[in-house]
Amino acid sequence: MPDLLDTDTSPLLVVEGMSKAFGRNSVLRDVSFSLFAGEVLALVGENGAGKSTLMNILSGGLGHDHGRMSLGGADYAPTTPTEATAAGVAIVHQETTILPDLTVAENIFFGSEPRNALGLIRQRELHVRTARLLADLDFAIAPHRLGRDLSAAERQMVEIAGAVSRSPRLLILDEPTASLSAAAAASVLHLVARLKATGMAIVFISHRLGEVIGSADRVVVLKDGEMTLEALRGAFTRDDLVQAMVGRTLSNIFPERPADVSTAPRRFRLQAAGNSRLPPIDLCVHRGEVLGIAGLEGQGQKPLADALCGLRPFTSGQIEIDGKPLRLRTPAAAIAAGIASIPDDRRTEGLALTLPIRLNLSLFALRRGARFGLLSVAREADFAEAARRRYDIKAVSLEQPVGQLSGGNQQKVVFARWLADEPRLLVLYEPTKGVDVETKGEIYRLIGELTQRGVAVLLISGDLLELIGLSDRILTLYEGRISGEIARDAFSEEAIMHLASGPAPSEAVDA
Amino acid sequence: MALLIIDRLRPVSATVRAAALLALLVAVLLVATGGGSLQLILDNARQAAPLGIIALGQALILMMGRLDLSVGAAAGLANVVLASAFAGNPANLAPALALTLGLGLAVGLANGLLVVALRIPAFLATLATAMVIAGGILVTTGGSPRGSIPASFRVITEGWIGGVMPWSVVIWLIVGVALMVFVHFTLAGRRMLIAGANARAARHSGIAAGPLVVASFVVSALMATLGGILLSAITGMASIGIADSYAVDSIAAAVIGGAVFSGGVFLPAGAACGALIIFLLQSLLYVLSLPPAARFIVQGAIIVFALALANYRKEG
Repeated sequence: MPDLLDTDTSPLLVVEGMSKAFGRNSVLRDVSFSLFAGEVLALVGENGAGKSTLMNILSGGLGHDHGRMSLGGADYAPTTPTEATAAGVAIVHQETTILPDLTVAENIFFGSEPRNALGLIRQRELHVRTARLLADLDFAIAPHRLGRDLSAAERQMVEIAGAVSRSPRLLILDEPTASLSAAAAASVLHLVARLKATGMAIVFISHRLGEVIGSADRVVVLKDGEMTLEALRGAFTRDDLVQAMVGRTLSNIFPERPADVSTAPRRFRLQAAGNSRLPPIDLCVHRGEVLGIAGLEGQGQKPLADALCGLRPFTSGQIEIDGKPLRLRTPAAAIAAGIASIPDDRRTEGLALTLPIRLNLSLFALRRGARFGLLSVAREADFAEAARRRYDIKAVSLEQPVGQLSGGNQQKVVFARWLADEPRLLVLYEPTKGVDVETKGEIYRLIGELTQRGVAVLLISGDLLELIGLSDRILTLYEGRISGEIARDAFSEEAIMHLASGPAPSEAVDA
Repeated sequence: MALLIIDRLRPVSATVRAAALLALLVAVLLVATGGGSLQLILDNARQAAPLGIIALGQALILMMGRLDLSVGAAAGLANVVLASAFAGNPANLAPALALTLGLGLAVGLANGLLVVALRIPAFLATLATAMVIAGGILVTTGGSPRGSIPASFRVITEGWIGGVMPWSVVIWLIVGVALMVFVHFTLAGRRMLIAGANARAARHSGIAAGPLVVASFVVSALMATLGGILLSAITGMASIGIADSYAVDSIAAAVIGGAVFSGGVFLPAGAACGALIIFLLQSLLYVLSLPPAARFIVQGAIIVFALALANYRKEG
């Protein structure tokens, strides 16, 4: 533990004019900020705003093009993560890297275990050091427990303990609370506060604005690679953050919702529908309604999306579309029934990245143009060109591999393909993940248009702003079951988080 | 230097690159043999047709992101079966062809079902099929296959249309164009291409890859059978193990022609260039009259080099 409290007033970390581009794609432009020892800096921004790039530059995972950094007064330009560690910078990545078959102690000291003359690990010393570290952190967990037995929150804390074991001056936490319930997130934030009290500087990335306001001394907001806000605690509000993140106020980016859609005819209904990965679920969506599905990560969103598109079908219960019973055994059956579903991972589930844009666009439209199994090349080209114009897909040529497009334009291709025939139900699973703000606005507008024409939308998203802005009604998922329903006039981040955290805060860590 | 040149060619399509390499090789061959003519080139193409047709099938399998290591065995099976069914008598044409193609179809179905229904990785499943076929040939022929191909049938590889164009080259062209049209201009072919490029995305879009994968193995086995039939016409008799090298050679040919192991690419013209390159390299090694052992070593090294060149662009 570093107990050298910097008494002088010069900042620990200074970042000046930081810029980075991948090819012609500029991801970070002229970002400057500083951070003092014993401070918590929250880094906020939409997906693709450049947060991860900045984190990677700070932690030596990525070089930068322009700008300079200093750490503790000395020039700091790590070229490898090892150099960053040596300089006193530690990072905890979002995906936990806890090894399931190693103990807590072995996970914490992985790679830097105390060894004897033969190179063997000194088990006793390892456990003593772990116990001391955990006591310092006020984190009660037995050092001999196996990684696989830890809860999500415990894993996150063990990761943080591992980073702290190297006594960093600067600790970077990439979305440490993203997969945690409200109570578990609170225990992680408690740990952050404790580390801060020891004089450590902490950068944490978060999408939860409540958390940012509650625990950050300083906030930096990135939007499309540029810094749109830097403010100290108390000098910013939630609205300031949102404005800086999306570049406009929410009412401008989300389509206007009709007053009440619950009187519209019922379009889609699940009754006790479930399978081996999903407990039986009941829900219904009306014509023209956007039903939001909220939840912490991994609470059944994926099994629900997979079942709705027929990939891993429901094996029990009833499914109804426009009042008629439906068997949803395969993706082809779902498509035939008028269910379009946009997958969350367009790169692995939505697109054939190496194939031209034209081929990716026309997948469904082909059937209409085909005669005797032969493709109509002219119709295909017409369709692709029309889709390019309709969805404003920015590409040099339609023959370009779709993998060369930006995330936003790739997502437009996915939408254009699935909307070649107007669906009855549109299932969206993280529809704006890794998409620029501009495209986000276009996607929201498109959803508004579709609902006006009676398309029912089921929106599964982890983006609370998006859920609140788009939905007419929100259901929360917890451990695969619906844990609550919120009507439009009761929408708030807190209300969603509360219901999404389950019936009782049982996941709390004994902190 | 060569790497630099290849690197400069990056934006150019893989087919053009393979064609350039082929032109270079033809030039080397012509110099090595002391001048030559279009006829000499066509004569090489005539003899390269069996490999060329097998490489087309392999290219289709590679498009599906898989490998077929049984094509050599399937071509050898076609050779043994065709010769014994013909028994030198032209009157046996119909039953001989039907039996040979029928067995080829069975091999393809077996491969496809092993891969799709039993979920055995394709290279292992086809390796196993190849071993079963090779063993089956030895058991049924006792190691000395009988029969011969009648001269009237051997026209398909030995004959030239009007003295200017070999029949086998025409057959090769027709098959190549047919496959190209199938993949790029039919609904089924397009679905195959998408399933090969990203099976998960295809499945999500309602395309069941299973039947398409089975179909691709059937096509590949039929191509191998056709290649074996042409090879039989060239040699006129049945031999054991004569087609074994086609498994590796066809993969090399397809990859030199731009195919990628991750699937989603089908370039029949590239595969044809690749097959000619492999064939010409082998001819060149004969012309240089290296001892057989050295030929194997050089040939192996050249295949490695060619594949490394073909793959070079994929980094970066």
